Amino acid sequence: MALNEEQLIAMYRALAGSRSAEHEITELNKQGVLSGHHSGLGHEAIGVGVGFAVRPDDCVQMSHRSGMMLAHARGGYSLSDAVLSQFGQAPSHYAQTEGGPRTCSIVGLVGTWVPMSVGIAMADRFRGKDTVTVTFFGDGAANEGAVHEAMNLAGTRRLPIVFVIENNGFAVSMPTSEATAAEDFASRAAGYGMPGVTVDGHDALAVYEVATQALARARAGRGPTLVEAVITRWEPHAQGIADLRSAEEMAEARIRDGAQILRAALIERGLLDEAAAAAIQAQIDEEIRAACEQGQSTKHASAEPAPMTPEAAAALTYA
Amino acid sequence: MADQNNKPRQLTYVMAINEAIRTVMQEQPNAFAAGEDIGGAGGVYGYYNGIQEQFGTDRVYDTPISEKGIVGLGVGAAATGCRPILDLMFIDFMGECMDEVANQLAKMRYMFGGSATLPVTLLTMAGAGASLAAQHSQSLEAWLCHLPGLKVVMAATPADAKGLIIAAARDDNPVIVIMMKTLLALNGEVPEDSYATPIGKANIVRPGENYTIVTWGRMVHEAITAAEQLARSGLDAEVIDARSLQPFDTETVIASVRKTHRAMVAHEAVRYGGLGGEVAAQIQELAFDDLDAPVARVGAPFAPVPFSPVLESAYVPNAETIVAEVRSQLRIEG
Repeated sequence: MALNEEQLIAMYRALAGSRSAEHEITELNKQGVLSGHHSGLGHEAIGVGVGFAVRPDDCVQMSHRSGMMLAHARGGYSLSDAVLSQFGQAPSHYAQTEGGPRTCSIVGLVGTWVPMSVGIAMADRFRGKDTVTVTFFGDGAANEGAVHEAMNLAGTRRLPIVFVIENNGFAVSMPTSEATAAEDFASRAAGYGMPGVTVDGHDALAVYEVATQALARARAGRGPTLVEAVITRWEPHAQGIADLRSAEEMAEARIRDGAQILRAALIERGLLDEAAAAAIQAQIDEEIRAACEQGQSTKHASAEPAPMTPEAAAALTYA
Repeated sequence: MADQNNKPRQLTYVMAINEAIRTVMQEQPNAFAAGEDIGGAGGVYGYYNGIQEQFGTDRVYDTPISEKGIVGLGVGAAATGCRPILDLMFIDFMGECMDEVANQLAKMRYMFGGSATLPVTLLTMAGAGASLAAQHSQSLEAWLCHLPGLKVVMAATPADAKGLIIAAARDDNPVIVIMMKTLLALNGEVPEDSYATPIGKANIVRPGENYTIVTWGRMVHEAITAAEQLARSGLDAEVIDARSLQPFDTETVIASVRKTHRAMVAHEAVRYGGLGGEVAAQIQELAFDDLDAPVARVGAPFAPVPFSPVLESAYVPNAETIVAEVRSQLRIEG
């Protein structure tokens, strides 16, 4: 299912926009205006590529890196929402909005949500739906036992699910080369009786292609696929956590740039020129600038939310 | 249904569990079961006998050995509108899936702002007495009762095994139903119709006037035997089967203590850090002035369950342990 000209431009708009929003949020964290961000710089093409391949009724289990780009690419989640959510003034991209694309939030413990994704895929098939569940996790989470159990269960039941590993080369500080003796993660798929595909995670079109095939396979009842999207992590694991890489290595990580790659591809196909790209960028910059201004101007107004009473917490705990 | 002699129907504990699962599967089209060996093998205890045959492999998922996977898929499927009945062969395997139980199953509703509903029923088997050694004999209910978001019940009779499983399956919260492996062959009256034993309500199984024994699981039967022995010393003990450990029926316990003025909590689990400490604390907080003696506690020694049958029988608390503890508490001679 090839994307048409209009969709390709929309993909570029989503990718360039995600990059800019992510860049701005990361910078505001460095300045101390915002806090707690796990930067997704370098991950954008994965979220955008998969976001254009899934249907709105497919369930996507978000990750903390590419979730925002994915929500933006699927529609209904603007760059302004992305920025304002960081100021606590818009629902985060993890939130399921009424009528919006179907998502499941991340939970705080990496890898633990992968068995839950399998349950979602199982429930959908149980209820006769033709939807597919796509679940994202990192190279670090891939070494968790729960992920192994989840992939094995999905393989035995040929469930409609796509596992996407965002391999950015580091689990906090642990390099992938020290975390696994295997050459790659995709080859693990053989152990679960499913195809494993490695894709350049900086190439949105390649990610889109691989995701489309995996989704079609799952929808046709032929079972799960393991997709390993290989990228470089541009930033430290999270703001405030030291990165052991040298300045040269950090600079090298930024050479592969998803936004540049897609822009070059579209220019080569004659779908985009420098002026059009600049015009798109100007719109993006303006939207983000306005959102930052709104976020900063009202940031402190709601800095101290009313404390939750024990009774209210208890009421949330049980149905 | 009564038979020709008008005697209520008797059923074993294991068959009561079987009947409960069948009832739930019939009543709830979105219910499915997942667990190890629950297919053709009928489960290692036999309570899944014939169930996969009746409901098919889509609704009775015989899984690989994957406790994290089983509980995790239950959380995901429940959040998506199914009503999973999960099977954890031994409560000792809780360690394999504790993240999914403690951090996902228990907290997901709270963390999603109340928007997720998790009607998960988790069946598991506890208790010593079968010489299954340190890793297959534990009573770990205290681990689970410490986790906001879970409900925990424990069945002491065939009737409650059926009623509590049906109640758990009808509940929109995660409910862990702890069953006792040494009670599997126990026979008892079990109504044939579909009924729910209320969660959060204790059962006074032996009314008494001047002593209260709060207990649960297999120890309910030991407490009844102990009460008969104590009757010879002039004590008329009320035995309360707590049944529901989370939420706990404090009201029934306190009402009893206000009447009897002396109390004990008895459980098979290790005494130190056991749920008995919580119950004793509740009694002294709410009925201190009514107490004529400190609240006694009976539980297993602070050691793993032994394999040797001789050591195991010395380790597991029973009616004699209860009687001895009451005599010591009340300074009854002889």
